[in-house]
This record gives sequence, C-alpha cells and structure tokens, in this order.
Amino acid sequence: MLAVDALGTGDLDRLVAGWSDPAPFETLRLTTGEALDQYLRIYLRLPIGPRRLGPLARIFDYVSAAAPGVREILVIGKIGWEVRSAAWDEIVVDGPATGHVVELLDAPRTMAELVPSGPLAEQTGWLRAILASPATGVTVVSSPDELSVSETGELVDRLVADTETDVELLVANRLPPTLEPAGLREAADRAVGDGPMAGLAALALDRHRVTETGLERLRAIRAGAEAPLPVATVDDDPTDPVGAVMAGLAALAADRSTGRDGG
Amino acid sequence: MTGASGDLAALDDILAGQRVVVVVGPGGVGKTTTAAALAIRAARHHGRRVVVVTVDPARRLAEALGMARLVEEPILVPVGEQGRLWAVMIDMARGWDRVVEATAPDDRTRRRLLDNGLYRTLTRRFIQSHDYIALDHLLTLDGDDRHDLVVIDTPPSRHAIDLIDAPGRMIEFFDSRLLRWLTVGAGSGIGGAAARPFLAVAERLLGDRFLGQIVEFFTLFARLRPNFVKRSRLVEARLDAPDTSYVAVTTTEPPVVAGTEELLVGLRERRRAIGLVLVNRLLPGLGLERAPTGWNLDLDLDLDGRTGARSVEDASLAAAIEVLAVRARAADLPGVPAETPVVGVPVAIGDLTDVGALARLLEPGP
Repeated sequence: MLAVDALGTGDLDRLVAGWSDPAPFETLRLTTGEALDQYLRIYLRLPIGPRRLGPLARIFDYVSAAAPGVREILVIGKIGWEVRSAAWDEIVVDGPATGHVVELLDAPRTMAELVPSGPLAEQTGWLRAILASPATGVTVVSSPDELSVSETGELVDRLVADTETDVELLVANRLPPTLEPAGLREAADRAVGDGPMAGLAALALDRHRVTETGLERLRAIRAGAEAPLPVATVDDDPTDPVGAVMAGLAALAADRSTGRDGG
Repeated sequence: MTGASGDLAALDDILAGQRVVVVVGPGGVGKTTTAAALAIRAARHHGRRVVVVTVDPARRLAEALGMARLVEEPILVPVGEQGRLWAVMIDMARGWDRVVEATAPDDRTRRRLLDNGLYRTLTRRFIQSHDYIALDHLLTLDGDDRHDLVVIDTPPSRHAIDLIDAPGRMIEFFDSRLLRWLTVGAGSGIGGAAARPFLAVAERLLGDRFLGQIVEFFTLFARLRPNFVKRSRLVEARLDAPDTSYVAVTTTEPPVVAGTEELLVGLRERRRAIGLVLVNRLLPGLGLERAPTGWNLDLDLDLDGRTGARSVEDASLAAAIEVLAVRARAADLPGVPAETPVVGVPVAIGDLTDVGALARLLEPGP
C-alpha cells in the first residue's frame, strides 16, 4: 500500500516518524522537483540525471508557482503512473485543501481539451480512465462545525459536477463524546460562571450542539441521490487520532455489512 | 479563561497605525475568521476605514460576516458607529485579466492574450492555484482613498511562505531560461539554436500544434515583462513597507505548530518582520503567560483533567471534558521569538456568522 503526500508538505512523513512500529505502508512525498523528475523519466523516458535536472526542476518550480495547472498535471501524472505500475494493492492520496482538489482531479480533462493529439493526449486519456474508474474514489473529510460542513457540501457538489471521479465516502471527523440528557443538563448548569471548569462545560455543550446539527447536515449531503453517500463517524481522540479513524471506518464497514446504515 | 489574552496592546497598535495587515498561516487555522475579526476591531475601536479582502474559494469570509456571498466590488458591512468596513472577494480569473490589462504594452497584445485559448483555460480552470493575484490586488486597494487599512486574508498555500515569495517568483519567471527558450525558440539565430533541444523535447511531449499555442501564449506573455516586473516590484515594496504588518495565525495542534515554525523561519529569512502571532482556538484552561524567553502556554486548570472529569456527575459529560482537558494538556506553542508579541484567542463558543460574534473574539478577558 502506498500513501501519497500530494502537496509535498511532509506532514505524512512526520506522522509516520512518530509511530513506534513501522508504518504498514510506503509513503511518497511529491515535491515539484520529484514530480517533474518522475514525469520526465516515466513519460518521456529521458535519461536525465539529478545533476542535469536540478536547474530544470528549479525552472519548473517557478513555472508551477507562476503558471496555473502545471503542478496539478505533474502530481496527477505521477499518481496515475503508480496506479498503472500495479506495484500497489491500494493507493491513498492525501490531497490538497477544499479549494484545490477539483482542479487536481480535473487536470487531465483540461489537458485533453488543450492537447487533442500526440503523446500527452494519450497519457491524459488513460489518466482520465483511471480517475473515472469505479476503483477510484474520493473521500471527503469534514469536522462537524458549521463552516466546514458548508464547505463540504459545496465541494461534493463541485466534485460531482466538474470531475469524472466518484465521491465514495464522507468522514465526519473529531466528533466529541455525545452528551446524554443528564449530561446536557449538568453541562448547562456548570457552564454558568467563570473559570476553566465552566469554560470546559460550556465548550462541551456547544460542541454537542454543533455536532448534532453538523452531522445531520453532512448526512443530508446527496441524501436524495441514487446512491446516497455513506458517512463514517470518527471520535475525537487526541491521544490516538489515526486509531480513531480506523475504528470509525471499521464501524461503518460493520454497519454496511449488516445493512444497518441503510446503504 | 474567557476573552483574548496576551499582548493586546501590540495588536491595537497594529490595527490603529498600519496601512496593510497580511494575515498568514498554515491551512485550517482560522485565517479568514481572524482577518474578519481584525478588520471589525480596527473599524470599531480605532475608527479605521477598513477593507478586508479574501481570495478564499469557499467564501468563508462572506459567511463569517453574515453575508450570502461577496463580490469584487467592495460591500459595506455594518459595524456600528465608529469606522467603516468593506469586504471584497477577489475573482481570480478576473484578477489575471486585470493584471494583463494593467501591464500589456499595447492594445493588440492585450486583446490577443485575453483571447488566447491557453490563457483562458489556465486562468479559468486553475483559478485557485495562484498566490500572486491575491497580493497584486493590494496595489488596487492601496490606491483607493476610501480605505486607510487593508486587511488581506491569504489563500490556502502549499506552504504558507509561497505566498510571500509570489511576486519574486513572477519576476524570476520572466527572467527564466524557460521563458527565453519558449519565446526565442520561435525565431531563428543563436538564441533559437540554443533553445532547439529543449523545444524538441517539448514537442515530443506536447505535439507541435499545442507547442505552437504555448509558444504564442508565452511570446505574448513575455511582452508584459517590463510593466509586470515593475508591478511585481511595487507589490514587493508594499509587502516590505514599514506600515505593512504580518499577523501569523496558528493553533496549538502539533502539525500546525510545525507549519507555523516553518513559516516564522521563512519570514525571518526574508527579513519580513512578524507584527504579531495570534494563537487561535485556545481551549478553556489555557492562557498565555509571558516568560523571560518569550510566551508560554499556562495551563490554568486548578485540577488535572481526570480529577475534573471525575468531579462531574454524568459520565457522558465527564468523557467530553476529558477529551478537551487532554487536548489542553498536550498543547504546545510554536517557537516565537521573545520580542514578537503574541495574542491568544479562545475557542469560540457558538456560531461565528455575525459581526458581533466576530468582534467578541478579540475582546480581552476579565
């Protein structure tokens, strides 16, 4: 299994470095230079060594910062090649932020319109096929707060309208423990006054309210579609956030196998 | 702890005296909300005529200001008796057109570039991926007499420092070998001969027809060079000016702290003075404490999280408080130089979708 850091931020490597056991997957950090290096080797079969690539990578670094779309093509091209290599059972891509992901997924289609024939057109053809394949899907992760949920709704609409890749799953992340009615009453009582305990109680109460509304809105996203989106719920666990995601996904899988999620 | 803490006087100095405030920081820290709160405070408390600018594609600023959407023409936001506040959202495609219009040497170049298919596709399909346009808009707003303070909310960046480098990168791009190869390659002579190997590779990848379009696009684009470079230098000068301040927004989440430290180092390397670090979403119990070496987080819980949670009768509330307390205890601050002012802003309770709620974020605690 391969996990790709599509932005090249190093966050994925930092996360894995903090684990006591080795990660059960490989990681790939895609900087612009590496993406270009791979692109030239893979697609052009150019025998360009790192020393010769250095200045060219720097030029492309300017271009990718200056000319919109260049980095998107390099990144999606490298990921597509990894898919094609059949070296991995599964590839998980840590994608860009909300405002950028549609451009990344739509880059091959845009290139296909610009380049109707030639080797690049052929490459964009199979990249589009990979992105449109049922084996490829987008998982959208959202916290339950109001602005994040609004962004998630907009993003899902744009992904459906503007890309050829299916949205497969919503992950409602960092959900606080649900307050029972007695807990709600106690939180409301304790929230009155000053001091850290009152602040914590007020925050717990607010998070409960925000989460209930947010989850309801997340579940309503494309609820009327032919295939409604499953929503995995992930507990807020500051000591083991990755474990919490795994538990949330396992719970969803179990629900789906028993038909309890209605999907 | 309720209310903002730390060096609020330094924050007010910036809001009262500066001409431009650039809000920077890693993704997901609340830059947009912070920019709106800063702008509201500048108008309400200091009587400034403020314009707050966002390029955020998800229109979060509009929501935070309680408006359905923002447009390019500044919209007046009611903030009360003192000061005025306008809000603007930059249309990135229009932003590029505006730069072309401002820098093209003649009408013919301007028309051909704006009509060029490649230009239109790139600027309209990949509209969010450009940091430069956000900063270029500063020049337009800076020259508008209606405002005496511009607060700019910066776009999500691969690395936050990319934004600061954007004008310099544009200048480098105009001077780059690639642009020379693409533009002189279309001609003949010594320059054309040098570019031939590069163009042969490009043709192999792109096909001759598309390469022709690219060469035409870059040939036209290169004609913008004198005015574009001049404009980029003006943007750089604006970013460097003593009446421009950077407010770095961060949280106490570990990946954000790492990203913020990278940003602070990058700003120092570029000799850009950080006016203020704003630590956002501090949990109850966390306050800022000035130490001889800088600012520390002071855990103001007179109980540890477990004991506190146990003192709560209901198990579900105990679990909810436990999560918050664990997060508070694990919190860390980015390495901020001792001389840099720091302000802590508590996590908001309730919706931040109106001006009043945004204003309260920066109100000092008791």
